Amino acid sequence: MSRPRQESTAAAPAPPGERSNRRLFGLLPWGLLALALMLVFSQVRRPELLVEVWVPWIEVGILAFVMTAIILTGGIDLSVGSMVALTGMVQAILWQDWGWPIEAAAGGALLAGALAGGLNGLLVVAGLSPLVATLATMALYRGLAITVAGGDRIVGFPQSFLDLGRLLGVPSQFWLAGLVFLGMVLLVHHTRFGRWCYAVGDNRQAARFAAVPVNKVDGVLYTINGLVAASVAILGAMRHDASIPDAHIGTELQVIACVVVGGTLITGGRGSVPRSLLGLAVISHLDVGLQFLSSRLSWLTAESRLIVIGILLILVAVWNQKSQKES
Amino acid sequence: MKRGTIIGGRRSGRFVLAVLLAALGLQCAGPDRDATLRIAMIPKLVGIGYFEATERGAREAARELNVELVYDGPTDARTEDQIKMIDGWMAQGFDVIAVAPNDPEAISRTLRSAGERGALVLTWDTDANPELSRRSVFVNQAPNRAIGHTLVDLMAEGVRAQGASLPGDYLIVSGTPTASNQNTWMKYMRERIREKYPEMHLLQHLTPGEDQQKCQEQTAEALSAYPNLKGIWGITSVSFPAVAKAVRDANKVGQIEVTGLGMPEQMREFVKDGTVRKFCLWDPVDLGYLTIRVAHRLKQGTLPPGRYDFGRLKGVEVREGEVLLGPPLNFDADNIDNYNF
Repeated sequence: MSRPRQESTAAAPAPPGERSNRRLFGLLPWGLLALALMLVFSQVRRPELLVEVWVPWIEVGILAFVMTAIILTGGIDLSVGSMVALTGMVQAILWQDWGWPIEAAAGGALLAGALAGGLNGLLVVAGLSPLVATLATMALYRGLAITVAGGDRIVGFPQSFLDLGRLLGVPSQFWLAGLVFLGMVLLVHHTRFGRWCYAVGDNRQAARFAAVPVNKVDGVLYTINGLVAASVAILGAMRHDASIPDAHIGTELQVIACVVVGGTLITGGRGSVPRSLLGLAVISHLDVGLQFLSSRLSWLTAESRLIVIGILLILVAVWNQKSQKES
Repeated sequence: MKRGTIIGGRRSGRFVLAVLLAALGLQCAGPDRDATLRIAMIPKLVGIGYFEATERGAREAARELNVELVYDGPTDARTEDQIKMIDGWMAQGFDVIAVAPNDPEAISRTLRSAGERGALVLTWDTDANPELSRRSVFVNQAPNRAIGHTLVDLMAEGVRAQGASLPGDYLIVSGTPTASNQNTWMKYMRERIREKYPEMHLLQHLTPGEDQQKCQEQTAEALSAYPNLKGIWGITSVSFPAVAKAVRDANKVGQIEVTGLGMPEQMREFVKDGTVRKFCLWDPVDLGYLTIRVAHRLKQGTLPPGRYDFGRLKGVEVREGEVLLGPPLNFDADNIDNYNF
């Protein structure tokens, strides 16, 4: 994991014990990951089907890679789950009610995603707190998603479209995840734009004085988020042959959890995209592993699994906070 | 400070190690039950009385047959969570997936994949799209015809028990206008009235949605608008208690007969105070029981149409792709305390 230069300049002069703290800092997520992986792989009986089990989490991951960049700037996007639902419904309606070919309808969904994300960006640029702005659009986009089709899900897409749900035998979500991951790693860690992200998250005011185009950074990132949300929606429709208006409720929290568990600072300025991949691996395998384990432990119901995951997340968050204070 | 953190760190490292070892022990301690049939049963959601009752029945059957049962559903009635769980149980190598779909269409592709990967797929409580999902069988709680007819019979019986005569106006309070279960039941209710009680005059039914408040308001309006009203049905678990409450609040108990479909827990107070004399529903415990029994039987061989005994349930009717639990169950002041769902 490469550390961008900004971080070292922003951090206080390293105390002698910092190196060992840094190492410890990484230990808990990795330990949890080992535990979760062990759970999953000791319980799984048909490992070849794990690919299917991963798909919903890969969707979360795709969104988390982009969310990492937004959180690095000190922002947040709570509307991401609603955007997935809305763009999915836009595509379905353009195809079913407007008679567009399915490819054009997918293009329409991408456009809707860019518009929805762009509106988030505009609101943030206009000075609204990202939390408030996207809390509002979360409700707005969800409401739109539910009203455009009268609350009904739309099913029955053409077979040629559904066939794209798998490429080379692998669910297409994996390919998209690879693309988005590479794209975001390049953007955040290997371009000037990426360094701007860190600068904005570190100190928005200072970045502005240093001629960093803060508005451009916000606008671009939130728009990308909308586009990626639309891509997730399109692939979701391919997989399930359905666009569901109340899909992805609560996804934003899973996405943010992946970013934070990975160790990216929620207040911005510090973190990385690969770290979110680690966070995703931890959370997803814990969830899957606990479901697997529940076939043996009857007290591990759907509700009590939430408790276990909640406690583990608190543990990681406390750990992160502690190690960040120390370093 | 520095020393303290390092010790703290070591301790935490040990903690991680301990957790790892504990997990290892935990999973080694689990019994290996490769030999038995493994059934994953997925309700629409967990944590509500109805699906707790179906779980009790399912567990009873699983104990009798010595099969491994996982009863696991989403905490909200959402299709995507059901899909996630089904994919998970498939990777866990379960032999049977028995699901009560929240959405008959959106879940169908997942069910078809599960079937193609070797699992026995069946639906209960609510069917999936039979062609798309290719599920083997639907365990149906009660034939729609029997529910429709029973509802009308209960009303006629109740009005006569009040000492009144049948001729007069009658009203059905349903849920949403598109709910397919309710619309089918109403079709059979009309059929029964036409054939057996032509003197009952049915008013245009109400569809206030699944909203207790609206159900109550619209029932209250109907109570004042139709002086000749003799009886009201509430045919969803939301509308039935709302209708009973509206009738009680309007002091029409004893003049307006109220019956419908609901669960004993929610209707108990109305039965005790006399607002409702009798109502019906299928027994959800039996539904869960039958589902596991059917899955077990299907794993042993085929199930051609006919009548079968499934454990304590005798003479259950099996049709092409459908198993019928049997006629609905009637509840009144005498037996309502025997049921807790």
